[in-house]
Amino acid sequence: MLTTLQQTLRSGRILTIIYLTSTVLGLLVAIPMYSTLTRLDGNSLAVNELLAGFDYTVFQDFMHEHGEAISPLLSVGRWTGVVYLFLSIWFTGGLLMMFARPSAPLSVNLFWQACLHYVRRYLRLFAVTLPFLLAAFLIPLLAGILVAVLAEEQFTERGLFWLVFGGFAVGFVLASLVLCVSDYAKVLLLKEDEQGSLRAFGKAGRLVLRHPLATLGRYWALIGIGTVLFGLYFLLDSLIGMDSWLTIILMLVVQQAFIFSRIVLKGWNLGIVYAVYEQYAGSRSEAVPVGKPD
Amino acid sequence: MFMHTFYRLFLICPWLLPLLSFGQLPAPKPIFPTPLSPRIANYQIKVSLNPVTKRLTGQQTLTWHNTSNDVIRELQFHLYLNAFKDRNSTFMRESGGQLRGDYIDSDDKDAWGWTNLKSMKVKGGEALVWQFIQPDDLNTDDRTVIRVPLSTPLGPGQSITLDMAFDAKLPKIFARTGFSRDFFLVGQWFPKIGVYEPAGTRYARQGQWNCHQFHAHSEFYADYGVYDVDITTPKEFWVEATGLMQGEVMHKNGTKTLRYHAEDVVDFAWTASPRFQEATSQWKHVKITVLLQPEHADQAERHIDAAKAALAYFDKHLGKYPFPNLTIVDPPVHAMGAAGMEYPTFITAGTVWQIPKGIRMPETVTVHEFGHQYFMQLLASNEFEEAWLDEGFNQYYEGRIMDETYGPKTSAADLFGYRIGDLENSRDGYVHLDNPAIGPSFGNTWQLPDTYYGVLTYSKTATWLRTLEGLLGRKIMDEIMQTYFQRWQFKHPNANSFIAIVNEIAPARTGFRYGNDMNWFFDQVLYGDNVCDYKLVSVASKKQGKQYTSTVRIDRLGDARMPVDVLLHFADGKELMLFWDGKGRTKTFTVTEPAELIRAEADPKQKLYIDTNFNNNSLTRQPTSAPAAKYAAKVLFWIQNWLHWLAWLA
Ligand SMILES: [Zn+2]
Repeated sequence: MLTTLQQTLRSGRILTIIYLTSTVLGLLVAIPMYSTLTRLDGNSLAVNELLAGFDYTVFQDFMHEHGEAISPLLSVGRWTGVVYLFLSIWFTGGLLMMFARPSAPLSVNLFWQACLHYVRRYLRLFAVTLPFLLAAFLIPLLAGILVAVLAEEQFTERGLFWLVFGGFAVGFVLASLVLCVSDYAKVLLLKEDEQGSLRAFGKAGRLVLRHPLATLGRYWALIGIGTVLFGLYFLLDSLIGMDSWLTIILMLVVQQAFIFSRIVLKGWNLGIVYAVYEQYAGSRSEAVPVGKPD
Repeated sequence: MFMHTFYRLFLICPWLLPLLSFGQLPAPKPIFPTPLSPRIANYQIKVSLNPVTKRLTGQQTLTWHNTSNDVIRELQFHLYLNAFKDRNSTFMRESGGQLRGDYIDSDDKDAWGWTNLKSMKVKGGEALVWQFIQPDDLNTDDRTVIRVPLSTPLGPGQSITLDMAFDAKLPKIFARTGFSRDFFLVGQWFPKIGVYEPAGTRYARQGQWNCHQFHAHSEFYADYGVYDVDITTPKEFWVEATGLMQGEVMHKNGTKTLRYHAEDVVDFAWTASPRFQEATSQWKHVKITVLLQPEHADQAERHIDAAKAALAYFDKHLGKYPFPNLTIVDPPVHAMGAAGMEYPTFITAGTVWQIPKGIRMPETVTVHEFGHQYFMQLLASNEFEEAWLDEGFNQYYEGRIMDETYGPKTSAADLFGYRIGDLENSRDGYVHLDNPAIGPSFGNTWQLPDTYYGVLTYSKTATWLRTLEGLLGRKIMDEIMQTYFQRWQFKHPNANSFIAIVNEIAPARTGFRYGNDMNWFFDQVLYGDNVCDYKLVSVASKKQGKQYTSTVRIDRLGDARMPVDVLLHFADGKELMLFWDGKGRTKTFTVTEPAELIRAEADPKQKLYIDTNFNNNSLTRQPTSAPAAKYAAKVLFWIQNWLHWLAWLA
């Protein structure tokens, strides 16, 4: 696992491109937010309460007065998510190429070429994955809720909770399985130059189910690392706070470091998938062609 | 089969029970050596519950005293459960079968409830006849009030004793009372005499019955009395009720009878369920009993601590709780319609399994419902006509107690850095209405603007009481409240009772700062719909010679005229407190000081808690954009996270 992490970190420039892309999208909301907040607070002393911590009265008074100015910005935030989802599909080919040509750091030029070359395949794969993903997550969750609602009288409060939570947990596990399979399908589409997304998804599914520990196990390990990092962030947030310019800047650095670590995790995950695939199924070919877009 | 027939026989004829019982019920022990209240309406009730049919069979003897100087020619009674008789009752028409988020399952025949008064006789005398009346509306389908003409009028000082028999079917709980599975919360269940108000009582110009129909939002109004109630249920049911348990006897048919005795109370309610878990504790002279759902057993301390905090606070700041006990019932989640309800010495709370400590739901409900022991039981205002007098006052005290006990900014919720205080939550409910001028707090509950009953009665009242406290100071406020309590406990106060005391105490104690009386305040907030919003429009400071001439302009945006302080802070650290009566639309202060003016703040102590926007109350000439930077950074961070979550799907 660690070799793939090294390979990921070696391609700092590519990680930076991805980081900057997501940050630019985030700034589309954050900068107007900053100027809106500065404009709306009207040099009031009350906002200083928000510097020290959360203050319900100040917050509610503000939102009641200016909520209409804030909510369009948040709606822009929601839409940038959709844009970034497609950008991530676009980046997938380039990211995988980092591991397909491990001998030297991937050049930015080749990265862009790989992105372009594989984007249509990965778009098709996404279209295949999405219904599986929704079904995997929603069916167990809704089943849990449905049983809880219909047979409410048969269960205690604890029972009802575990029923719904159980549905959610099963949904979460199945959804992570679908996403893991989808990652192996990405490698398949690249390494085997496979064109059929559904066929790749099926093959990847069989591979994952044959080696659940090596595939899904590692996938969950990465989710675990991400969760620990989140815990670390909240810990630092509560220790540092954001009550002065110094701590605001310090926390901004912590926040952005955390975001960068998420991108590393994403790359690392693909690296692991690539290596595991090679170990169990792949032919060890050094060079994967980057030709014209298909 | 034998037992079953037997069982039914006794439920139909409960008076046969003593023939086949073990032991005897003791005569009730007096609680107070001298009566605390006028004890006008006194009940002896024998009631048995059939948990299968959800029916009550009852016999009651009412002794009612005519304490007025009038000759009484008729009596009036509430038959509250008839509110659940069908869709046509005034209660159902007003509520649409929905109360506090709980709905009646109108297709379920079992969901409905009623009272059937079978007979009424003067003790040792004639049988009485009655007719349904609708004093509040023209809805002749409403069967919640009856009038009973007396053939022999009742003279001043005389008493009448009536024997009554009744059946009742309990509704499925959606509005306070009824059953849910095997849980029973039996409230508003017996034929209950109204209040005869002699001339001079509250708003009565001449003697009159005050006996309103059961409305969706209105609660109750009753005279004080002594209750002796024998409750018969199956043996396996755990029973608790208003007052003190005197003893119980087991019957051979699998049922038992418990005797309860209560003095100087305005109502009587009880609960029965086979699955309570009990926890008890003692606070001074008060025994606290909590009946919990087994799944909530680990929350016993949370209820008890909250009850003790409330007992101690009221004892210190308002007056003594005279009763020897307090029972807190935690209803099951499927009976949430019965949660958060108050009866004398007996309240229902409400919680859910594993609720985090930072969500203070059981605490808030316990403190609130306990508060009604003062604002409802000890001060028996008319909840039909002036709900703000009990709910609003109680909401204000709920805020004070919760804020003092659990922190002013964390008393309602404190979870993951999201913090809400109880009193600020009440304020939020009122000032952030789309239209805070929607109505007054004062008025018959069923005539307040639709759907705004809660906010006008609870939140708005609590907010303007906190404003009154802000203007007068807490010490004077407490003196007013204590005087109100001492003067009006065990009586029927109204708005005038309270305002008279405010006018008696406040002007003198504040050096007539706000005039000779405080009527201007009540006219705006209680009877009026005036909205309070002050805005600091500009601050400026110019050097002229060696001195600085500084100006501060404040505008009154709302139509509420409230006196307001304005604090000026200068560069040399000096502070200057100015005062504006708020009568005009705008006011500009000009001061000359050796130092430059840095910032100014209207109402810096937030005395005017009803101000709908505190953020526009201040201006600084040295603003910082740090808060904006903080929130922009947070927004950036969470949007980035949102993007990368989505990226995980790609
Ligand atoms: Zn209340």
